[in-house]
Amino acid sequence: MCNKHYCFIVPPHILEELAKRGNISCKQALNDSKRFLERRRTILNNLLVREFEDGNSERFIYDSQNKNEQRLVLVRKEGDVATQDETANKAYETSGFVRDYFKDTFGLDSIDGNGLDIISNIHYGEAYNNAFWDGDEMTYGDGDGKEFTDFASAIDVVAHELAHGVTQFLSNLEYQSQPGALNEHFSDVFGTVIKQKYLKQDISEADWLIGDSVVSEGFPGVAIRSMKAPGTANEFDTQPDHMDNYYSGSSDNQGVHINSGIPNKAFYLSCLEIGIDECALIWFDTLKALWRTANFNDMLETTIATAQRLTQEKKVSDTAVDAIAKSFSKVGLTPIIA
Amino acid sequence: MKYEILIEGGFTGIPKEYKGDIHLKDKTKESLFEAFEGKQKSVNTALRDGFQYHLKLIDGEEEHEARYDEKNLPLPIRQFIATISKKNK
Ligand SMILES: [Zn+2]
Repeated sequence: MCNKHYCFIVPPHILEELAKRGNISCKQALNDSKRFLERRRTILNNLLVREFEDGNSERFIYDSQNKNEQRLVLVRKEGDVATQDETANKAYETSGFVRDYFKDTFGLDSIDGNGLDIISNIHYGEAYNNAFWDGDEMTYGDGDGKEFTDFASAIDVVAHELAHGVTQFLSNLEYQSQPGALNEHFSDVFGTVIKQKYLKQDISEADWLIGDSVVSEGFPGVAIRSMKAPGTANEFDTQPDHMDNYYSGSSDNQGVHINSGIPNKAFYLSCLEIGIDECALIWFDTLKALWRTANFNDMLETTIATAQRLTQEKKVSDTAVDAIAKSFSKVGLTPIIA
Repeated sequence: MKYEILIEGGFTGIPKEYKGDIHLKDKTKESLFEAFEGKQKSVNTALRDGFQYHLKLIDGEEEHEARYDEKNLPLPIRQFIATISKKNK
């Protein structure tokens, strides 16, 4: 038997599973009041999140000086004038743009909604072909100059990495299999949305590519991924655009950068129907409602429910639910609409 | 010494694989093997887009195999991977 008091002492992994199953008394108790809902979300989402100090949403740019070390030399912080290093200035500018987008569009105060300072490490490693989020900061390589270049200067890469931070605090999707592919998907979604805002493009002008500005001449392709046409961005691009071609192997944490092509395509198709701003709002609210182990079907169900709510609240158009349902059906995920 | 290196994940999601033979100085080899045998730092479960490194080294009877991520890769192994990667460019 579950009551309000008992729920607070249930181990988080059990609480999560019970809440996910959605039909047991524990969830009922959790849902009794808004306070309980908030509490549940906090417990679920903080499963793997460490304690963070309060910040002021300020930017800090550190130079790793081509070593594999973070927070090595602080080269620019919030309010400082530009430095001699263009990469530092670009990282400062782009991370500020991403921060402001989330704040101005969704009222999210920095990565964690609580003013977490935004730490970027640039010039990480030697000829390092990568960018990553590690739980509390972002890190960017310069690229090898042959296939890749300057990850910190690319708005979609910066937005993608920062969005991993947002996901960590909103739903904490685990990084494997379908929840991991959704984690990648949400980062690509906000990577592409913010890129279009940054470049002042509308959806017809946009290329829907991720990482087109970090690939160099020696790279056999135009970008890392394509939201519009998954699987076509480069010679190595194996992203499917339909569940029929779902990758079920073990590489890449069971395909987190591969199967993200499926919801990516659905997002692109949805944007064509109802526009990118409505989609961004629906996807952001969906991300807030998801949980650590959510799979594609959970995500679809939650997206439809979110769109229904936002339609009732007159925040998105009446056609949103049908448009999203149609888009997901085209990639092999058919929703059941109540 | 025979080596097999598989680097997966990362923002690009494009795997890199290196296989081959290399001659290392005894001292370099020793510090490399020591790094394999050393206590592995804990895995950072919050890492997103970090590389995952899978290495296998065979030197006569001696065989080492281990997996690391971006945050717990020991320096001698990172340096070894950098050497192999440069050699294969
Ligand atoms: Zn990612």
